[in-house]
Amino acid sequence: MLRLLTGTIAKEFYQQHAGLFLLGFYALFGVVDPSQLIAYHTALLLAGISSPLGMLIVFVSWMLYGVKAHFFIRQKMALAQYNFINETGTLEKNAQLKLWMAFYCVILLPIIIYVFALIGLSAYHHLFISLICIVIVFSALAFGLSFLSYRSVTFGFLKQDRQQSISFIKIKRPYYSWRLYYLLNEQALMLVMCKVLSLLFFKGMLLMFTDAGNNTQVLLVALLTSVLCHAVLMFTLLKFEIDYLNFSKSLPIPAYKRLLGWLSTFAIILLPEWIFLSISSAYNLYSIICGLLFGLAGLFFLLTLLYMVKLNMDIYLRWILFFFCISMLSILTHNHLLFSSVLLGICALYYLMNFDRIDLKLSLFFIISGAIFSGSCNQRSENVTSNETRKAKETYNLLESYIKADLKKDSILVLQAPPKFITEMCASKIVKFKKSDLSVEELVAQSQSDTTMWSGHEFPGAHLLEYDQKTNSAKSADLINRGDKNGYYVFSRPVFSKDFNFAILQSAFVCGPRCGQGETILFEKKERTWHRLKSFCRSVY
Amino acid sequence: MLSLTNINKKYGSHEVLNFSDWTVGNGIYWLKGGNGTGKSTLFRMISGQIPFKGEVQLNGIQLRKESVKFRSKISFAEAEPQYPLFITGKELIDFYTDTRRAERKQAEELAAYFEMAPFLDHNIGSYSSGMLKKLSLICAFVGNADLYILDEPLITIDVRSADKLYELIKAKASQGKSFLLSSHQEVSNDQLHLDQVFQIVNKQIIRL
Repeated sequence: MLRLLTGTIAKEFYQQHAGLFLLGFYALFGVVDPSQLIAYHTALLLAGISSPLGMLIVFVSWMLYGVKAHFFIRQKMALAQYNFINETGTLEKNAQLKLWMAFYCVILLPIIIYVFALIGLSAYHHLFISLICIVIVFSALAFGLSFLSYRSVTFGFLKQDRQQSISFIKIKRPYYSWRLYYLLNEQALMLVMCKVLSLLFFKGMLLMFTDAGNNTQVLLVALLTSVLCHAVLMFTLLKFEIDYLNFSKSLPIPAYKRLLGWLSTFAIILLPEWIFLSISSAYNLYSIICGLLFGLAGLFFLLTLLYMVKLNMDIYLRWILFFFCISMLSILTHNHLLFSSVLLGICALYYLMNFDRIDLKLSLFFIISGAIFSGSCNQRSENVTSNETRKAKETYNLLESYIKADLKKDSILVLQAPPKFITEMCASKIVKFKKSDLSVEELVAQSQSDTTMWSGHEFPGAHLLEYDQKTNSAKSADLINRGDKNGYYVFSRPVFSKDFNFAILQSAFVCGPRCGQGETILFEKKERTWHRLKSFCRSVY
Repeated sequence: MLSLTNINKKYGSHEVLNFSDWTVGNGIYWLKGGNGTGKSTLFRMISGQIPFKGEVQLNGIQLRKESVKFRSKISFAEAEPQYPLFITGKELIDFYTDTRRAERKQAEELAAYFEMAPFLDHNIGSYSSGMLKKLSLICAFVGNADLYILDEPLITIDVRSADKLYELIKAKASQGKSFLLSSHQEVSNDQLHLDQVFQIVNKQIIRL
């Protein structure tokens, strides 16, 4: 069970918060000179254990992380696909608590690493009170979270249903606002954290470049960091779109309206950042326009990227780094306006083109390169596939008309193994009678090559009999089970002329070990229906 | 007339459908096939929900070239409908009514017909699976489509609602509307007169 929990919820937790961890990693290791790294971290850890304020900050951070993790897990557990977790409710209380403790150890792994470092340092510097506090607080956190999860699984049913509709508030919610309602209603915590983080980064960037003044470039760099803070939010939005709004794809809504719907969603999401940017730029119109365009292009790019990588978080994060570099370059070289316009244009074009025409996984690049490099190969494979499709269809029609028109039966017993049927002598007789586009050799080769067992779906009214390799006939037990001891049919796989106007089929009726008759029949297709033309190589045994 | 040509649909490397052509005229058509044979995939393709290779036409209107016009001629109810849980049934029906340019009265009549009117002001999250299914059927019948695609319309709804659905299909079919249905449940001729039954076998559609 632990493996299942870690493989599902814990994996998703780390995937969805990969951006946050990356940021934390950068803040801890990226901003300091490598030669100063050990001293920097020692000082940082010491600050956390040597004063009550430092310890409070550390503990509050842990609490926040724990609360975030707990809400994430609760949210996942509410989903239908995670109903299996409720099975843990059948375990004993202690077993459940142990399971959740182990699970939270995986979730709290970044904190655990930090805890070990703090304990080591506290022991080294003889700060034993701090050491005890750290152990107590961390244990309480892990146990508290485990207990909460245990309670929600075991006694969740005791909770009163939340009133789902607020009847006295009647607000008209148009379709395009549903995404925002989803964020506000079901992802409120993520939205708040995303906004707080975004604004913190925005302000932090402005502070970092105070000496350069609040010019457009600085503002755009700040906005870029804010846009990147929305990476997980975009993932959540697209997931909601795919899971819950997919039904709208079959409705007659023009693509441009859908596009405008997305753009207005982005605009509302970025409203706080734009207000911040406007104030910081002292209402400079050029900066505001650049910010509007850059923000929209950035969020739209994140969405398009998610479409292209089919919500694969790993690839998504890699491309975000690429996006960051390209955006920075465009800002530093004063090409941000052109960059934003082009990016917005490409994303809009991709959206419009993909809506009806192309598989989501294929980007324009893949299509062009694919078309250049594999054009001829595709043509050949398509021909083969379409030939096989046609053969299956004609086999169905041929046997249907043969069973109904010639045998005059609705259902028959057929041996599942088709024979290798045409001899050279027989083939030459057929070719001599009716010149088709197949030579004698080709006819023999084709009739010998395809002996794929009948599956029962290739023609109507067939009841298949199992083939007995020892007797080279139907299994007698199967025949008796079918309630028919009088006999059965053996059909070969038909051979078709290249233009599918002629077909040759061997049909035999077996009435006992030494009882039966067979023939090879030539068919011709007239007005989409197969007609028996002549019978060859008749045999009675 | 619905016509599909050179259809190919893959999920990753797994090919689900591959056939050169399939045409159906006006009438009620039943599509059979085991689990995972591609019935829902086919329906989603026709309704323009998922990407695929090939061409789909309805009465000469191509899905790719005139997608909005094509979509206005078809109506699709999914096997397992999923809607945002925080919206009400009425909000969803209103959305369908607006996009299909239908009259509110028609939607109200449908809701009353399927006995869903008292629940429309409730959030979808509070609906049972049967109510959700009925809501999706109401949405599908809103408007004036030429082709109704109902994927597993009988699952989760009660016998009474199923009978009502049969009656509605018959009434619509008598007005010249076409239906493409799928179900694992057998339907007798008394319940519904089927013009043709098809089956998906080995990625292809065959007539039964």
